[in-house]
Amino acid sequence: MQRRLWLSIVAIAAGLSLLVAAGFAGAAKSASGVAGKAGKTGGTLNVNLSATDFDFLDPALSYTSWTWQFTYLTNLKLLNYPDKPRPEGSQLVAEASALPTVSADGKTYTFTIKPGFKFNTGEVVTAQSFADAIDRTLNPKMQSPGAQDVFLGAVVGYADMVGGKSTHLAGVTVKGAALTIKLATVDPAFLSKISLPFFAAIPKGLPINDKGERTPAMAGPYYIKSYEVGRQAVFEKNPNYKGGRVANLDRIVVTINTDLDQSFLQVKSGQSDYDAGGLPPAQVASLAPLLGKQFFVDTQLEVDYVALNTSAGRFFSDVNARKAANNAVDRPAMLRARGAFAGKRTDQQLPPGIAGFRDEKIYPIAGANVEKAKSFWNKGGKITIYTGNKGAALIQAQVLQFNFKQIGVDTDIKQFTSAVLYAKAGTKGEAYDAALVGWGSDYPDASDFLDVLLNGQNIHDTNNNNLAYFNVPEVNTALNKAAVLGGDARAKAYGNVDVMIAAKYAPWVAYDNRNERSFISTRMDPACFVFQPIYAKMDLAAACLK
Amino acid sequence: MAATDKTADPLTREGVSAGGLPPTEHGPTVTARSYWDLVWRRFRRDKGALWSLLFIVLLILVAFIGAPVAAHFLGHGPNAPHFGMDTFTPVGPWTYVPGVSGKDLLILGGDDPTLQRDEFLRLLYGAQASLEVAVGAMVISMSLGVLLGAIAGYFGGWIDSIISRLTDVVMAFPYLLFVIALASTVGSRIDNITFGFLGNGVLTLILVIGLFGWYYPARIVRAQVLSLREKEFIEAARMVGASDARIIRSHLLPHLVAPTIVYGTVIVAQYILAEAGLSFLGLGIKLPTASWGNLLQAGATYYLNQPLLMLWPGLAVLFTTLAFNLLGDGLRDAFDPRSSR
Amino acid sequence: MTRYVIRRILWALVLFVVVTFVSYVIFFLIPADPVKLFAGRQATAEDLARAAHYYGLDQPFYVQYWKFLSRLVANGIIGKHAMGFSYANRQWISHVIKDRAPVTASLVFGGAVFWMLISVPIGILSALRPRSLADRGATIFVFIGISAHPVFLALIFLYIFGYKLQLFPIGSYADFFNPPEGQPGGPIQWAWHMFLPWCTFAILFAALYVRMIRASVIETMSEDYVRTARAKGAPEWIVMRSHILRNALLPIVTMLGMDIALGMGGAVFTESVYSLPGLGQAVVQSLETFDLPVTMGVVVFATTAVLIVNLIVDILYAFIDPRIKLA
Repeated sequence: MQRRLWLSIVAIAAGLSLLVAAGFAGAAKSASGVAGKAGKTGGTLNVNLSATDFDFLDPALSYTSWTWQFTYLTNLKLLNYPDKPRPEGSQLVAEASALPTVSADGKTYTFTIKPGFKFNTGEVVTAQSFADAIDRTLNPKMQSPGAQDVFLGAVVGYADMVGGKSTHLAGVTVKGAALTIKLATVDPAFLSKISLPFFAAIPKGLPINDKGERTPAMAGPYYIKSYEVGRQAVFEKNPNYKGGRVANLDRIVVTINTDLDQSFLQVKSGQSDYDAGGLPPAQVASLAPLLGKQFFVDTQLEVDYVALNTSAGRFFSDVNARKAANNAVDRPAMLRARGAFAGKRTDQQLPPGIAGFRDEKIYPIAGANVEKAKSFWNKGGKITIYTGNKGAALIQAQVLQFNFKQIGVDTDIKQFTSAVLYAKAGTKGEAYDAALVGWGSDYPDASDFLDVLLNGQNIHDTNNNNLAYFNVPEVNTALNKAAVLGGDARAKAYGNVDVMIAAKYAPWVAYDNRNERSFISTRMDPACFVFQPIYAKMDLAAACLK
Repeated sequence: MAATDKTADPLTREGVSAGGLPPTEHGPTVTARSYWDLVWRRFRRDKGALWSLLFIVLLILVAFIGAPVAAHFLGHGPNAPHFGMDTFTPVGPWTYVPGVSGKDLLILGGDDPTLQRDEFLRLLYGAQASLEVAVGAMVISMSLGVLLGAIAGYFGGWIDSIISRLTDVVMAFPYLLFVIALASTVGSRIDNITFGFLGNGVLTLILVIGLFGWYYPARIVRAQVLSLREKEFIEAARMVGASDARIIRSHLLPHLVAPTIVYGTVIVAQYILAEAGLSFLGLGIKLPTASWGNLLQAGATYYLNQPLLMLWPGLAVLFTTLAFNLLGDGLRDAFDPRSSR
Repeated sequence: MTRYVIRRILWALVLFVVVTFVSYVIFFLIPADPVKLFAGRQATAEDLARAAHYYGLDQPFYVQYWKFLSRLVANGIIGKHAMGFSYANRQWISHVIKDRAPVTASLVFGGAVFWMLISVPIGILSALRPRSLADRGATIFVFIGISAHPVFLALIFLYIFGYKLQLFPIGSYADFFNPPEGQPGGPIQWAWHMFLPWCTFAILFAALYVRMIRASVIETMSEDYVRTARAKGAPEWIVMRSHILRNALLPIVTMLGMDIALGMGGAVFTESVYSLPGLGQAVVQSLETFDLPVTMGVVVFATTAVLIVNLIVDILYAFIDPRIKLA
């Protein structure tokens, strides 16, 4: 679920040796609370959001992991992921709708909206509320990231809608409490996609506004009481919410753009309760004694990688240069830059935990293999690396600089904030050779990694996710075949493509799968700590004070 | 325009305004040697300034000669990482770490848990970058300032008016904000110009800091030249038909040496602070080149586990600035005994 | 007097034009592709055209500048449309400025009070007893004060008083009026949160002022009227109060106006280390996000504020001290 802005958290993260990391990850799982248990209710939680701001609180536009942690509180969806840890937390359950009925050909889904849901304004949630949300998100004037064809591209009328020929998605019909969605082609991942935050219920007449509505009325367990950009946001319990989700806290006050280091000390001293912006990499190791009490480590469905720009004419258009890079990069150092408990090293695109992942030892993950790298590339050269401008990203860029120097390649580092980094790298023809980026899943399926990030047919002029500009017919065909499969066949097909891409084409230097590290104040009750695996963050609805 | 006359550079407002005048009794009959001799005698009495001078000379030697020598003997450079240390804290002072050539000694420890580069060497090399920026920007400010001030003072009239107004205008700018703004827009264009010996970003800093800092020397020099212009030896030179250029070169410029040296010294102190500030904000020297500013910024990250890392560059900046300020103060007193307390 | 005031105002106007012109050059002429920077990162071709038109970037530079200047003037600098919209922030620049100026004002004015509280007693004391221990101490303070970097001081203060001793909150701000819900606020919280920033901000200026006050008091003590007063047998404390201090501090007070204005630039460092959501922090954040409209907005606003403060100080000074007319 999150997407591209992942990286600014990159700024914050860190690393361990494989063995130790695995050990801790195991420990962490058992440490996570048992979830959803009714904790003490009431009270105000003070949260910091360090070094960043929400991108948008408007559900149609928000597309960052840290904002989704909060919109998870305010959104009411047809189906939702429960406030529980793995494995239940990753499985869709009925929320505003009962589980849908699906036609025999797998192309028609019918949702029946349950009565009793209301927005914080008192307006009743109807099937139309969801149809409106779909139309608004796909309206080209919204410029929503939710309008990409990887999401609802299979629905009847999609092309007309995003082409601006229609303001209503033809495949969506409302009849009383029933919402029917017709697909043009079968999409086994459709339910995951319709459960994205982009398609949460919106009130009648929510304006089309590509700058986003600041405090739209919401129907989830919480609503947005106020939002002052750059300063503060307040979330309060939605008095009209009668659904089944927990909502222990009365109010969550988010202070925006705090300083990461100072925020850490504030949580330590109880001035603040939690930093949604992450932890300073340098301080994480000191939290080890608090594991399970104030400190929690959980694995995310995420991959951090160096995208190698394979566009014609660039340095990494040569597959040998890319294989050299994969051998030259010191993965333990890359991970260490994120601090302790940062995650697990990898050399593949898919993270473990995605169905179909198969661990193959393709490139050295225990450290650089300079000799092997040189056997692929000894011609020297000069490359430009794009990276973030804070914390770990800067250190990692210097690690890369050193690693490339060892195989005789000079590097020029260009630093940007993560938003700018992704915007620049996402523009076709941008003059870079490597970009330090990361990807967290939007929904737990291999297509969200391989199709979105590496299918050459999804390359556009701007806002690209395929930052390697990787476009190989063999891979595209294999991916398209896998996309329409279901069940085990799907998993196996994607798993094979994953290994093939890494071994044969090496468009990335994948180097780690990240852990989410949560640090809470002593005011908070650790028994209520729930790691929501899909949103890959602490679940604030389940959180409670002592 | 009383208004603008009162404004001055906050750091040196009082520091030099009264100073810098060579002794008034100085005339063509006194030989240069005895004047400088006099200055040196007075300067020698100021222990603080003397130690400062010694410190600065040592610093320059250490930065430009000591740093490469130290790197040679330690067997690793300032940008050489030491991967593979099993720790999440920069290693402490006097630690041996595995390096390319067996065991590398990190005298002040590492700079970062991942990179573990030699903080000691980075401090020394950082001195290079900081001094290059400060001295380079000083040269720009002083050249512009002395030139414009001398022209304004010597020619007077409309030339003076224009230059004086220009000075007033530059003084009206919130200096730091404009330096920041300029560094942010101009930086991407010239950061990579190094002339083969400067670090990336050094030139940007030299230009943006230097270009906004000339107004104060210009004012001092103008006032100085205005008073010199009325002196007999200038009139005499003019009477025997010396050209303007010759008068400026042979008769005015020598008298500007003292204020230029004094103000130049103090301005270096300010510019060292400016470099540290801009690099701290990420607008200065580009990594991996070390400068005191970016060492301070990096050090601040580890202030809970390794507070010494923030102390070293902070103290380096403090002592160097202090030395330049004390030296400037001592020089002012030496050149102009009346200004002493 | 009237002539002086008029001349002074006219000069301020000239400065305003020049300063805005330089800002214009920095923000519109130097960047390689200003339209893209101003239109935000996800700009469509339509947005780019709109932004280009709004700023007149499709026209010759003097037209552009004229548009920029007239928009500023017509909207009174902080009016909604004076400087446009920040795409990275999704806010009007005027809103950003109005939101953050009070924080910077708290820092700068509070800091000014601090540095006067520090420098006046030290300055006078060291002037009265030259070469005494106190005077030497003051000299050391002066040199360290002008040599220490505000960032370094701030980090040290934060480490010792915020973290080790836990006497002050660690890097946050509390509003004086109307704090946001659930946040600390009000005068006491405000002062408590601002104490370390004030100290940091005040030290540089305090050092300069100690020096100035000392020099000014020493100079005044040797004036004829002081000698006369003493000769007439006036008690020392009356001489001190009515003759020396009054005359010695007058120029200092004027200087204060100017330095408060200058301090707005220096607030950048203090604000960024203590995470105060002021104008300085806005500039730093805007640089990181390439949010050029905000950088420009703050620079233009701060410059104009400095001009206006200087103008007011000069005019007031002309009334207080009629000798100024001779200048």
